Formats: sequence, structure tokens, C-alpha cells
Amino acid sequence: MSKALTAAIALLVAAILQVSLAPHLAVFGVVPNLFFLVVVTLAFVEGPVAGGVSGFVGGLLFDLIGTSVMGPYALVLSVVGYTTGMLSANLFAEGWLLPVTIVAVASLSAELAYGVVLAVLGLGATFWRDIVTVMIPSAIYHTVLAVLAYPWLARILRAERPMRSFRRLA
Amino acid sequence: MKRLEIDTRRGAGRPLLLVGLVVAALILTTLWYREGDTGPLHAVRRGIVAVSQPFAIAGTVVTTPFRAIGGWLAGLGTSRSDYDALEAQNLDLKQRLAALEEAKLENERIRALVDFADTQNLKTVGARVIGRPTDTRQRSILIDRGTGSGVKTGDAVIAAGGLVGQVVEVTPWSSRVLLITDADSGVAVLVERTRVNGIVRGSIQGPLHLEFVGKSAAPVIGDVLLTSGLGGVYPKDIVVGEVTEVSAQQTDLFTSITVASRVDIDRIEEVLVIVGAAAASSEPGGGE
Repeated sequence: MSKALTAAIALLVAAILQVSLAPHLAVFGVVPNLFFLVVVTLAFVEGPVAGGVSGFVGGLLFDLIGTSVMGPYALVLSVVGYTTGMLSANLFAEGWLLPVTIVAVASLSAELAYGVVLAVLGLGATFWRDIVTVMIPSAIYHTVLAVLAYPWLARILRAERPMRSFRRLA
Repeated sequence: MKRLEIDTRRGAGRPLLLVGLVVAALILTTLWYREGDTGPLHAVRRGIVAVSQPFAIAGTVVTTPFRAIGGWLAGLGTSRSDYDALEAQNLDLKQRLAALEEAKLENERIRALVDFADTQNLKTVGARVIGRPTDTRQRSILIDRGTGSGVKTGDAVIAAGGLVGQVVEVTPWSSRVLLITDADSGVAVLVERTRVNGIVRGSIQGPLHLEFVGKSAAPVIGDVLLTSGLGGVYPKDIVVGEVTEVSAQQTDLFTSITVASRVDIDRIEEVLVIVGAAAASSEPGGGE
């Protein structure tokens, strides 16, 4: 199966789960963003180009299933996916700490950037309060989910070099 | 050596591609704002709502047993020894009882809804909630009634405790409702006791906030807020919530007022859509 097809299927599955399962996994009102998990994993295993393109498509799907303006999350996730791919491909370190750190930074960056874009569009009137109540909790939740899901997602999305953990990735 | 070559190729970026993606996203955003509700992007979103309906229902159905098991386990702690002794004999009875109990609760909820609608003299359509918010920032639900049941964009949605939100997307079989707790939502209200007008806005954090009320006209804790009917978005005199906190700094122009909805919006299961109400609909999200 081609990489593009695998990525497309992964994003489609993420869309289905985002509509059906994610709302029921909300913790203190924070709904997990499964597109972020797929895009970050693709960026890790395939690099910045795949991260950027999948980020755009995944972000667009996320915008489509929401109720707000179309485009902001596509913008944010394409930049985050691309940057994550660049970082993961060009930073080398042993162990799990670096990938986890990249995921955490990517998650927080995505939340902050999305908040900024919404504020610019006049849709985020409580930006500073959202940092504490939404962005940081979301970033923590997504990082935890990424740590749990990454080895499995990476194994599916990069079949030619299966990995079992962050250690293998690094 | 081969591994190094692969990694090098993998790490090669294409800045122009990234610029292209960003520009494409900005163009989409611009088009979204410029096109009307009947534009192609809005049509695509309506299509997504229609397609996502069965998946949302499936998610609710699949997760229901897990939620029920959680509740059942929580109940075990009070009389575990009795359950151990009579578990086999009682299992069937428990299942029947649970089904009856659920039917009774549902009956009570629906009766309360109908009574509420009758009291308000509203023409309504009952609907079940089949989808929950898919995003932390955007608070909307999916209901199982659409244009086939007479629902249209802009219709107000209520529950037994009061206002829930407004229909923003409609398909033949389902509708998406923007909740009053959404940060982009706004409801023109008046304080029942003083008749002072204001706007209730949602927030990502959850609480509602009453805005544009001066310090001299500030309500007190416990005051009830009703829809004012101004702007024609929502029918008049629907309960929006109660004031739970009032505070103001000396330098503030307006008072900071927190409002709690009487509806448990995060757990709501049935709603009524007000169809054919006297008040006409307008732009969603607080255009009042």
C-alpha cells in the first residue's frame, strides 16, 4: 500500500473516531484531537512534507466537522506538522525524551497558534484565560495520548521500518 | 550508510510547499467569509454533517454500555454482600429494572419538555441528541431532526430547564445546534426582576457571562435571566439561566456577571426545536 493511501486512510479513520468516539473521551471538557495525533506521527515517521500535507488535510477535516470558520486549523496543523517533521528528522538523540518533548511542544504550539488565529479572526475573545483553561490542559492531554498511541500508530504508518517505542524512533 | 541517506531525504523540507499550504488555508478562510450560507464550502460542511450522523449515533450507542457499567459499579459499593449472594437470581431482574428505570426517566424528561413547551405556548419538534461536541473550543451538538421534520437554520432549541442553543446546520435527517455555552454564541436577555437588558455569551471555560450591564443596574445573585426577544433570534421569555456571581473593579465600565444555565447542557439527551415560532431567525452566534 502506498504511503499516501495509508496516510489518507489514517486521516479518514481519525475523522470517523473524532465524530464518534472523541466526544466521549473528553476530560474536564477537553476533547482529544485525533487529527493532531495522526499528523504528528506522520511527521515523525515520514518527515516534514508528509507532516505539512497531512496537517493541511487533517486540519481541514477538523474545520469541516466543527462549527466555526473553515481554514484556521488547516493553517495551524500544516505548519505544526511540517515543523515537527523538520525537528524529528534533524535532531538526533537517544531515548524517549526528545520525541516526547517535541510532541509536547508541538501540541502546545498548535493550541497557542490556533488560539491566536481565532483571536485574529475575532473568534477568541478570551485568549489569555484560554491559555490556562484550555490550551495547557489540551496540550497535556494530547501529549499523554501521543505517548500512548504513538508506537501503534507509527507501526501502522511506517510498515517498512516498524517501531515499538519512542526509543526505537530516536 | 543507506539508513543515513534515507533519513537525510526524509528530513529534506520544502519551504515553498509550506507557504502554498498556508496560502491555501488563508484562501479557504477568505472564501468562507465571502460566500453565503448557500456557497460550496457551506454545502460541503452540510454534507459532512449528514455523513457524520451515523458515526455519531454509533459512538453514542457503543459508549453507552461503558457509561452504564461505570454507574452500576459505583452502585455496588453500598451493598456488595447482597449482590454477591443474590447475583445470579437478580441479574435478569436488574436488567429489566434498569430498562424500566431508563424508560421512566426518559418519560419524565420528555414530559417535562412537553410541559415546558406547552407553558411557553411554543410549536416544537422533539429531538434526541445523537452527537456531542467534537472540539474543546466549539460547543455544538447533533440532533436527529432535520428539514424533514420542519427544522430550519436559526430555529431555537430548548430543554426543560430553558434555552439550549440555535440550529446552525440542517440536513434532511439531522441538525447541528450551536450551544449557548459556545464562545461565539450570544443571547439577548433581560433580568426578570429589573427588566435590564444585556447579552449572555458563552465561553470556552463553560460558564455563561452577562455582558453590557452597567454597575448601577447590576443584578444580584439568584436573579433569573430570560430571553428578551430583541433581534428576533430567540422567542421572548425563555429562561436562559441564573446569576451566580457578580463582581466589578472600580475601573471597570461594566459589571462582571457569571450566569449558570438551568440545563445540564453537557449531559442533555432530549431537546425541543422551536419551529414556526413568531420570532424570525437571524445570523447565529449573537448577532443580536
